[in-house]
Amino acid sequence: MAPKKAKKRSADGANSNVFSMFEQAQIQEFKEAFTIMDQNRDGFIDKNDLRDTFAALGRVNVKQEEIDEMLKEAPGPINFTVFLTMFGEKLKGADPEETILNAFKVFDPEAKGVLRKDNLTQMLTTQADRFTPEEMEQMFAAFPPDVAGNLDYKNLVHVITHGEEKDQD
Amino acid sequence: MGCGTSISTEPRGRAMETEEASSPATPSPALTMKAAILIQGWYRRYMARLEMRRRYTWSIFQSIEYAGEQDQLQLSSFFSFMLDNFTHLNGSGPDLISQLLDPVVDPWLGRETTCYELIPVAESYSGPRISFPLSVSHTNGLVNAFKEHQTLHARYALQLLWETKKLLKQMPNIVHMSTSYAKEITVCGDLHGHLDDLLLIFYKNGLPSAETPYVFNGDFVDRGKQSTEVVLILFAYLLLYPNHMHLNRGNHEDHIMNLRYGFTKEVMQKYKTHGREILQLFQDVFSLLPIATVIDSKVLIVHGGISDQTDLDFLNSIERQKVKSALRLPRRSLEEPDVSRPYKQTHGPRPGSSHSRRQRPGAQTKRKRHRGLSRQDSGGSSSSSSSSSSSSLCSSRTPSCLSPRPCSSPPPPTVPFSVDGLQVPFLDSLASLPPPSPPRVEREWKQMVDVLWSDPKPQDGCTPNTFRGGGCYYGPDVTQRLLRHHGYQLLIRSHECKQEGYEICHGGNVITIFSASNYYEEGSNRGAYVKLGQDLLPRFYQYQVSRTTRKLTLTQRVRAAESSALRALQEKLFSHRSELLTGFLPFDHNNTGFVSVSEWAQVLEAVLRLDLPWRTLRPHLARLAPDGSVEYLSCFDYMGPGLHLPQVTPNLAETLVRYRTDLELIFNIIDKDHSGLISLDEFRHTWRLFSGHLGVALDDGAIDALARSIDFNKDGSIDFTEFLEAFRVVHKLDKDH
Repeated sequence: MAPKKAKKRSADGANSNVFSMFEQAQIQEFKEAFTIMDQNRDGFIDKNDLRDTFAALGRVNVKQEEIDEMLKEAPGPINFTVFLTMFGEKLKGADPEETILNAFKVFDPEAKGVLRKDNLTQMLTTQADRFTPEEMEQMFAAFPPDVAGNLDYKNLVHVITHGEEKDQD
Repeated sequence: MGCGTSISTEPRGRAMETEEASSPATPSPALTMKAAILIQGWYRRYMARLEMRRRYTWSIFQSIEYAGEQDQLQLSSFFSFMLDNFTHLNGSGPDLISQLLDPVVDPWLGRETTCYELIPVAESYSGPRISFPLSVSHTNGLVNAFKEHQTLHARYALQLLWETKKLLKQMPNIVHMSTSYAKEITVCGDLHGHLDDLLLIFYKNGLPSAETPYVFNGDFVDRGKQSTEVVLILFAYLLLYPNHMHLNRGNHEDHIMNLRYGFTKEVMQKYKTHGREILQLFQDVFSLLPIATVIDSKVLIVHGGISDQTDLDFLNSIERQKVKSALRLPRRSLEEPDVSRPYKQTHGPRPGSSHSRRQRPGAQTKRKRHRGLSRQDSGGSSSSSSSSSSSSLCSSRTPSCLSPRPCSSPPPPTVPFSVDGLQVPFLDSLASLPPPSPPRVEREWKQMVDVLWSDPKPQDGCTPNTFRGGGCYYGPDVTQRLLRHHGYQLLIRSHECKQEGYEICHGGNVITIFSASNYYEEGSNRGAYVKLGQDLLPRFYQYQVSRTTRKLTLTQRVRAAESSALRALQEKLFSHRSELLTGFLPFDHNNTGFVSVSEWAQVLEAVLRLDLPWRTLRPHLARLAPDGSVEYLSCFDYMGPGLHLPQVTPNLAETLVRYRTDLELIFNIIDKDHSGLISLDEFRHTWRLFSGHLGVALDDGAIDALARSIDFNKDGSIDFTEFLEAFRVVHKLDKDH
């Protein structure tokens, strides 16, 4: 979930018309996701819930400012309606494999199929929605580059896309 | 590579070399950024989904675990019932069930010094030997022997337990420790028979000694396969260093829990001849374990937690060994008068009849003689209060077919439940569970149960713990109040498995410490222990036992744990098949076999009551039709019974799968000589009782036919292990192997 993207959504505050944006079944699904995130089951996602979720996603030292910023974007404590407004779209949808492969190919114009580990690191940690060093570490732990320091990104994309598909069976 | 020249023969530059921005092959910064954003978002979404899977996997394991503990109430009420209505199932020998469940008379009474001494140890025995007083070489010997998977001879085990019992009798209910003797005190949580974790703790932290004092906070046994070894080691160190080794009682130091969760079985398997005696002694020792430990009059350590009624002074004053099991109120003394009330008679077992999960006081025990079985009056009144009537035991999980009455909101903890007697079908008439215990006894019992079974919750207040079926959920205010009242600053408890092995809550007032790693599944969680020095600031140490040397990635661990959780869930669905089908009926009048996703989720939650994210789990549990509705019969496709016997109707299969564990326990008890065989008669009789108690409508004829078909060699006896194996639910994929 990219915090910065959420900005444009919730500027107008929570609005119960948000429920009409989604189908009933979708809303039920989001409700479940909300419940999973709401660790202490009090009906609100507060900074502890957010921090725990980040920590569980490998971003252990999320700065308080970052969390506060995310929470600030919401008009009040994040209840389900606000959650839906802020994050609803984020939860659904899978990026097609093609799109992601093309994104990687931007950095591999010769279409070698591999990327240098340090280049990839620099690319992902210095711009846009920067990865933290921990996130990079996590990625390389799950998808280790070879001895020469090359990462087979085609394999990475394939495993994540199709691994997920298989699990959804 | 990557120097900034722009000679055309060089391979085209990579994106980050902005000196070559003019080269047409290099993507523009805008494109680069767009690509980066896509990749970052996509990967993070993948990690978020993984995290969701991990969380609901955890929820599944935990829900099923707690539901199982609740189901235990079911079984214990059956035992109470059996106990009160007949003693011999076999016609010879002492009352086995009483011995195991509720000894009125201590079988070792009057034989205190010679019980174990009579047992010979063969020359050929190569296991560890101990003698008293214990020395360090004995404990080292034990640890090494258990590492090598040796078993301690029954004679020594009994002697060890006997000495432990003697020692514990001298200890108070609440034990006080001080940090002034040693640098740091180590507190460990649930071990649940995980010997590997215990050895790992000793390896990392040192063996118990004057310099390395320990507190083990309960739940040493059950679930894991080496409960015997774990608990014997702990007792040995207790005897060796009584001032530096402290054990608190947990909710699994309870012979009725042990019946279900594996310790009883483990002991019977490892000690074929003396198993029963050993279990008897364990029962005594467990009930003599102290309830709490206090460090420096500042840190309180109990297994579960507290309630808003917890009174430590009162707890310190009770006779703790009277509370043998949290699942049954202590027996009333036999001198107390019988409360007689008329009982009703009906025409035989009624399915779904008056049985409810919630235990209620009943009228006078039925004293009818039937089929040669008679109630042996051990003196005077036979109406013993073996049923638990306190509202500390509550149930929100009653399946619809077994309880026509909806569960009303639980009454306040101190007021015992009082409704009209629970009538239970018994053969061709009804029997009632006996009346409740006097208030003092009940108060003692409730205080103990609260301390052993409660869980903290984030919100203020104190509510009955319906999830577990015993104890309370206590809020930060309850904790604050109790700590303040005694001048304590910290509560350390265990009882709940935590991903990281520990968890801090209630603003730092409560620490949960859990020491069994991989509790639910390989890779599911770490174990931890906490150390307190004179500053009383907790320091946590984590570890994880690993079966493989290769470290699994996060994805692999999540996937492994998830698939295990899903199997457990599929088995649950299968074993509740008929209730689920009944539940779907109102939504599918035309019997099309399809309902909407919402309806499907609704029915599942109503029947199973596991509070799980059903929609998120749906893809793993059921198929969708092209129009988006759920083909609900596909829920049951995954599982099937192990053997195919023609007499096994779907209804019977389901019941047997569901109660497999309970049946196994009962059979184990009946099979006195551990032959693995019980007679057809015993089988029939027990089965009829059990199903009558459950209120499950099963045709007697079907049971008979089943019994006969299981008697493969027609000699009048059933190998019940084989029988039960037939009903072990097998994942369909396994069957193909």
